[in-house]
Amino acid sequence: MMSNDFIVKLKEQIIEVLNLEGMTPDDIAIDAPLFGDGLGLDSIDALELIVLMEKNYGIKLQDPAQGKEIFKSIQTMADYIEKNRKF
Amino acid sequence: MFQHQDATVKQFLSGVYHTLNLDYMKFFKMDALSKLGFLASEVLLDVTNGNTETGLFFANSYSSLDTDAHYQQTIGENYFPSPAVFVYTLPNIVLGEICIRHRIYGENVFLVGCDCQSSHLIQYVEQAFDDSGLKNALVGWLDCYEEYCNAFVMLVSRKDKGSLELNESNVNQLIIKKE
Repeated sequence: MMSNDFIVKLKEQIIEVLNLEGMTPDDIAIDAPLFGDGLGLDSIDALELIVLMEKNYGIKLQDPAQGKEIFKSIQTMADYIEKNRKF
Repeated sequence: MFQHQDATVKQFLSGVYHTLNLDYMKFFKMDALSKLGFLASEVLLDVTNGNTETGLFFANSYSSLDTDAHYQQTIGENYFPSPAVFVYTLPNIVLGEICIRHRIYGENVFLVGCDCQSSHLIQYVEQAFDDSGLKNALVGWLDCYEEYCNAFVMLVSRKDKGSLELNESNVNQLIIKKE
């Protein structure tokens, strides 16, 4: 079972690296789309999320096409990190 | 126009954004130079539905050095270069940000020189007015480096009879008045 603390921490990391000023973890629904209608992130943000996973969890995304599934929402991203994190 | 005592450049730019009551989340992803140009143009331009009659003519002396240094810093941190910082490592990116915001499709140019040489910019504007269908030009000097930032931006119009004539003397006087 994934801890709520981890979800909040991940949201805080995303807010920081993507400069989502004025946003708090509570503003980001765990299952809301990160791209498109959700947070409205763009392709550069996707690259920042890839860097975030490598820098903070040691995860190197081998296949960029995986990103579409991994970055669907906070939930899918957290699930992927929990399963693949190196530290 | 805006004063914020004892503020860092970052705080100042953010303060102006909030003072203008803007709602444009992408602003917070911009580097300082783009924020400065974005805010200066916000004061002078309306958001349009697509404008091919306005051009942008800007210059500065520090180019994108402030962001270049920041990007170098992200490379140095265990080699995690930031893509979001990298995209701002050119000075003319600010022009793209202004064009996106105001849907401007006219020509644009960004010059880098030692100091604010209004003659170069004026020549470009006059040439553009003569050679193309431009009717307006947003012209200015934008500089940012560490805790220094400076913006002088003016809207030049082909039609404005009775307004100040576009020439080096008038522009330099405006710059001196501002300083």
